[in-house]
Amino acid sequence: MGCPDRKAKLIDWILGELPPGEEEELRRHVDKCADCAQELSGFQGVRDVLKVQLQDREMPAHLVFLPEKARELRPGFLAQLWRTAALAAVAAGVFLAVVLTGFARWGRQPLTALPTQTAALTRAEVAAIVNQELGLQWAQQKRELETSREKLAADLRREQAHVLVPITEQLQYLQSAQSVVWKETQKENAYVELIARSSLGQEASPARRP
Amino acid sequence: MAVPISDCSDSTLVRRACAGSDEAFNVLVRRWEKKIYTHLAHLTGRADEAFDLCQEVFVSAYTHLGQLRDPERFSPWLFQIAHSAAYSYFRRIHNAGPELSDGMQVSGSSRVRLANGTVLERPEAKLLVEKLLAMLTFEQREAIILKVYGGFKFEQIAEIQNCPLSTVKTRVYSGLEQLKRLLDK
Repeated sequence: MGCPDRKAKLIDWILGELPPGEEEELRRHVDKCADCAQELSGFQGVRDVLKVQLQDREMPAHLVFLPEKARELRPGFLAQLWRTAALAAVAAGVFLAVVLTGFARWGRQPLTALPTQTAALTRAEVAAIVNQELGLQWAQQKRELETSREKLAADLRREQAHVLVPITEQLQYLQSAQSVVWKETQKENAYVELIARSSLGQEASPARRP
Repeated sequence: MAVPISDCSDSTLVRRACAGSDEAFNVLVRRWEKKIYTHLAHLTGRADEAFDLCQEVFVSAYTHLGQLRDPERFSPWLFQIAHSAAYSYFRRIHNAGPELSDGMQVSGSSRVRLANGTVLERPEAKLLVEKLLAMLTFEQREAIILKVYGGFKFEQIAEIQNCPLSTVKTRVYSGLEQLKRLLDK
């Protein structure tokens, strides 16, 4: 239907995009070509429907432009600089918080706040505090002394056991050896005595012979 | 005698706004808010979304005004931002076509005569056009709205849609042919 090569020109014409020099030529063609005239009429109908429909619409409200808010969103060098500085400050704060928290937990706890003195103490209160502190120190020293003494006693017992056991064993050995020697000595004496008596008996018997 | 700021051209207002004049930008907002809102309303088919998008467009325009190299081309540049906003909107809702109208007000006269001789009352024509436009692709719909409602030249539409001139022509021709076929039925 129509002249296919002229369809785009017909649309250009109704949309005001056709070069002025071509408009007259196209008009003469449409006057003679019924198909193109019908095409043109159809496109004009579409355009008119759209034009009627595509009109300004009432806004529910006018836009409220807040320069201060909008300016915060404007990316400028200074804004970026400030944003970078703010981010760096936050990062440094986080880093310091992590470091100090770790030091306070595992280090010497430098962040412990000193107790504040709200009022001066009386002499008696000071004396009581000193006495209490001295008492605590004395009790502590006593406990340490007792612990030390118990430890020394235990060490001594252990050392004595370590030294006396071999001495006892040696004494027992010596005792048993002396006993053996004594017994041997007794036997030897008995033999000597027996021999001596035997000798004395032989010398006396000839004299008693007639 | 000094020209009132409301009578200044867009390019003059853009230059003043770039120099820090909030008043100049306010005049630009007043001048273009209805056009942008209507354009977005036609594209999205939703008055509430169009209003929100319209605000986004002007906030974006204010924040990026310094990037507009040629102040003479403020309106295509503004519609380019609107194009991006509408495109993002459709991507966000994962919906290729707009929903039907939710009660937008239309002013103007009354009856529409179609090419086949049918005469429609305005509300009927409104629904009909919305349904027909919803059948087009986003790019076709936008190109036709920019052309018929916005009155832009093909070259400007190509700039707004960021595509070659031939692509814009193809979108407009094919879209109008499709609408013509549907109206002839």
